[in-house]
Amino acid sequence: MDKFRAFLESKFSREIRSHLTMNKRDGEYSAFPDTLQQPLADVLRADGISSLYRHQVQAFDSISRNRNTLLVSQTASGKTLSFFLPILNEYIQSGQGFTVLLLYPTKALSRDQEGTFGRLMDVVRAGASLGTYDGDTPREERNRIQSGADFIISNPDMLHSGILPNHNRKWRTFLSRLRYIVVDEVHMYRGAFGSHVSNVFRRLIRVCAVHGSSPVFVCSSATVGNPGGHVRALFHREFNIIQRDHSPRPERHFYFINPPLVRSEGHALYRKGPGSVSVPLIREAVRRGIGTICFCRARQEAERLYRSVIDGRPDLAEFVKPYRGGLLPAERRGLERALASGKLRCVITTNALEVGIDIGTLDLCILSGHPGTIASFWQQAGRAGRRGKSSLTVYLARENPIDQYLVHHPEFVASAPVEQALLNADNPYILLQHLPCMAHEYPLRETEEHIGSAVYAEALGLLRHNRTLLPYRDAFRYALQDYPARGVNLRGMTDYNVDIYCGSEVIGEIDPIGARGTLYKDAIYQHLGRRYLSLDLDLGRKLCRVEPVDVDYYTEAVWESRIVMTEKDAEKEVKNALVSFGSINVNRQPKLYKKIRERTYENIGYGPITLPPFEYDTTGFSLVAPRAWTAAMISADKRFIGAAFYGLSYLLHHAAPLLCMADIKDIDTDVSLIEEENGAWKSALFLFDAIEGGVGYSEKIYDSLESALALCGSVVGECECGSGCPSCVPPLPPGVASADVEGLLIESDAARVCAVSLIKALLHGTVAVPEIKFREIPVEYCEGDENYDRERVDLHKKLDRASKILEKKRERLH
Amino acid sequence: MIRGSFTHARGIGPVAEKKLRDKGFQNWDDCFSRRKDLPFSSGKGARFISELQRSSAAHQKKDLRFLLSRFPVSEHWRILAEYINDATFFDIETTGLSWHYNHASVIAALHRGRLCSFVCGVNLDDFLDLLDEAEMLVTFNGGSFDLPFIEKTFHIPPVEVPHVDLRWVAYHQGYRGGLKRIESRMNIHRPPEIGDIDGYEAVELYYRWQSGDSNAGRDLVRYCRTDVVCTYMVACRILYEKGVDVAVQDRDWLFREALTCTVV
Repeated sequence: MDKFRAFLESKFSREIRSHLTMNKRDGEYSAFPDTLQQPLADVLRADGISSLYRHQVQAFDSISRNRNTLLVSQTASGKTLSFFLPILNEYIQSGQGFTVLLLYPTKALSRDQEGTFGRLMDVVRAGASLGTYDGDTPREERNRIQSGADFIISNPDMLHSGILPNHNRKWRTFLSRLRYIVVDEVHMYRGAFGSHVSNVFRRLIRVCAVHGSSPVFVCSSATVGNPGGHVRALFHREFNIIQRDHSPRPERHFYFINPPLVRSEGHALYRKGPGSVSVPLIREAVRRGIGTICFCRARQEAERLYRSVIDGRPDLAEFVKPYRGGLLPAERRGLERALASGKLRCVITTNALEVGIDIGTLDLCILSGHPGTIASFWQQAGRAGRRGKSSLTVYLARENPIDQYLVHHPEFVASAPVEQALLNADNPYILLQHLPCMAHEYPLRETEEHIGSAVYAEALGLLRHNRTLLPYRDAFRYALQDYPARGVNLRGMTDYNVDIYCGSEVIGEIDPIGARGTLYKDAIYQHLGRRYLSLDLDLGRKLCRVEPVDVDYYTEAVWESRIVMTEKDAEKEVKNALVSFGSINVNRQPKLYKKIRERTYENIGYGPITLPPFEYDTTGFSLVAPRAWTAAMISADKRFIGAAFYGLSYLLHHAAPLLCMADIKDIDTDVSLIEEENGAWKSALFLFDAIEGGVGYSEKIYDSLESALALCGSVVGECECGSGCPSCVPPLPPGVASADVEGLLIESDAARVCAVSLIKALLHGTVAVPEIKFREIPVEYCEGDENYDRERVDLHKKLDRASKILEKKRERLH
Repeated sequence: MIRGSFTHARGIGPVAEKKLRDKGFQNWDDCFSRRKDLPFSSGKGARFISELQRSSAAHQKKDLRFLLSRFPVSEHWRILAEYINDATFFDIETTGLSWHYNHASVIAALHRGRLCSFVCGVNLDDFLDLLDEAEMLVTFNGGSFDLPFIEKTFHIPPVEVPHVDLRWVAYHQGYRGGLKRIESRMNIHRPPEIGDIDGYEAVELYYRWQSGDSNAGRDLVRYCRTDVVCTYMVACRILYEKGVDVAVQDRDWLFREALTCTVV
């Protein structure tokens, strides 16, 4: 490894911006707990384990005392052993046995787990069987699992649509004997998805109570900013949190590399892509037999990097492979095995390998660009590191401003707090979708434990009013004859996949949004290094036909998006700025594609894409700046307006999730033009829910816009950067389309300063172009006793609207 | 009748029962009065008596749920014999056989001497009121079909009304197979208006009715009502064969009632 570091330092001496070292940490160990049963201890000793990490023993104690337990752990800290050992230990001691439900966020993860329980499971195998119950489980196998397995691996989607609605028949025995629910990777249950899953857990707890069981939750999470608060919100109960990781950490080296600026033939300066560094690094690592993982931002990017690595070096093809979502399960498992056994030395991947899947330990991790969050950065970097050997993480900056900021400020990565995982199970829109499911499972009572009483009462009233629920004894039963779980998608709009056919064989799958951007007619689709030409994408039938092709270019789609407010529901003035809330139509469409030659990245042609747009209706608001402020900006520099809007758009996008307990992916912002009454066009900032139908996030921000703006203001005010950074406003916020504004932003801190000026205008009514100030214009606020009732009326109105949307959806589905 | 059962007590099989009967023990009261003559060891005798006392208390309180849970299925006829006039016979027709997508379309019940029907889209929900009134339910194969389908149709928790499944009572009397097969062995003839409609045709009738054929709806309700009447007759016949003398309702009147259809 040291030789490799020397290679890195000499070859890229001019590009390395900084080098951080994290010291080695010794592991802290404890002896096996006294209560550990002999057969399990024997298996551990046979595997060469003679003591446990201290956190594993803490988990053992906590779980053995039947306390809800959360393990906050990093990769390779022996997580599986932490939770599985105490459960198995109790299982072999109990005469009757009990059942255990193990939930993983994705199918790929759950399939992987069956193997990792391995020899431990053999100890109890005679008495208990383990089965994976998900969408891929064949029918005969399902019956066997339902009737015989004591350990069932599944996912929240299956729990929601398969297990809970059938609790009274096929799952009665399993649920009545349920003692442990293991939920892995809980940090992934955040935002709208997390709020849905939290309601699924409410339903599970309720159904278990019906069958006389009250299971204990055992969870594990990657590092998040608020582990305790997050699991409390997700499971509605207190947890014992085991946060300190006692596993040993090797010495870790971090290199921040900025690829060089070069002059092109046209004399323009441009920065070389991360491939200019990652390709030689990967080749050298493979030559030295160093286990390497390289994270890219997109699936096709991983494929392209793979092709660059083996370009001219076909001998490397057997040691390097791309691994990404959309591969077939058999391909995926083959790669995992090859990697774990060391046959494969380097894997080029996307965030698909960020969590869970056991791929053995690696020594070198290359991050090709910033993964988007600090949590992901650490999670990905954590993939490298083996006991007793130092590990190496190389961060390669791309050209965008956030990457550039990080490469120049490595201390930001080391010191910035990890993001919080937020969710709100009482979100009225989401709760309203789960109440019919809940009633379908077991009649609803006047009040239900763990559900916010005000929103529950209102939603219950509405469902009674539209006769979805009918009174039955002292409760309310589901009165319709459909299958309500079918109309509720936990994962939003992309809960199905498009199959990719070559001839009559399925070679891969992809989500429908991704398909629009990568599988349009004539697109080049790369799959494990093979290239295919897309012949026809049929989104209606969820399939795409491709044929093998041999070309030396790849294609890239150019998207266009249009955000239109279709119906205005409410309007208000904030310090003379017009803010309108209503239905928003989001229309994103790949309009044309570019053909780009591999190696040289020359643009060698283009073609049209004729696909229907990806379109959805949601709710959101638009904000138009106060006239006075706009006028002042125009008189100073027209570009300030764009700078301010893009700056504020970035700030709001990052601050808003905090106020409505959402994930950043659930909310979107955009700057777009809207037509005024006199036919003129004006810039407007849009903020909307990135979820079909809307779940009330933007509504919440609309209602508390002042606090949102104040939060944005303090984020910028308290940031120590002085001139803009990803924590406040980056110099060039994403989305800027105008070359004029872009020029200004790159050369100055305009984004930050103008955004501050706009925030001040919106918060205090002050117009502050440098050195100019206007008087404050007061705005009257409605306050008083009728507030409570108004809130209720509003809530009722909102829920009524949402319920109508749901009703229509159910009708359509059935 | 109920008090003549012994095999529900733990440790009393056919051999022990025969010993008791041979010694002249006809019912629980004989056992209570001639406790000393019981052909058991003292420990077993005491257990037997205490179990009979519990059953006797349940019988006096008319705790049918307890009795039905204690009695082996082969002895359920005794409970039926004693309470047949308090029982609610019912039968359902469904929109298909899938647990996921189908539900009850018509329910007919013979309740307190009255034949009533409940029709989907008209008054199906009223069946829940009848269910709350019922003291004991009698069905043919209801344990695995009618009751789960009722729970599914109305999305209610498991029905807790005591239930006798005639299919198994008939089984122990030597009648195996479906209701229609048993009827023909017992020489019970359905009215010609019903013809030979079976369960599958009933599903078809439902869909024809939904697409506007009101005759199909009428036939479906009639068929369901006839099924209930036949279930009742099978029960009466079994009791007759067991030598029980119960006052039963008039067969011709019941069939005439089954054919009157007031709801559709």
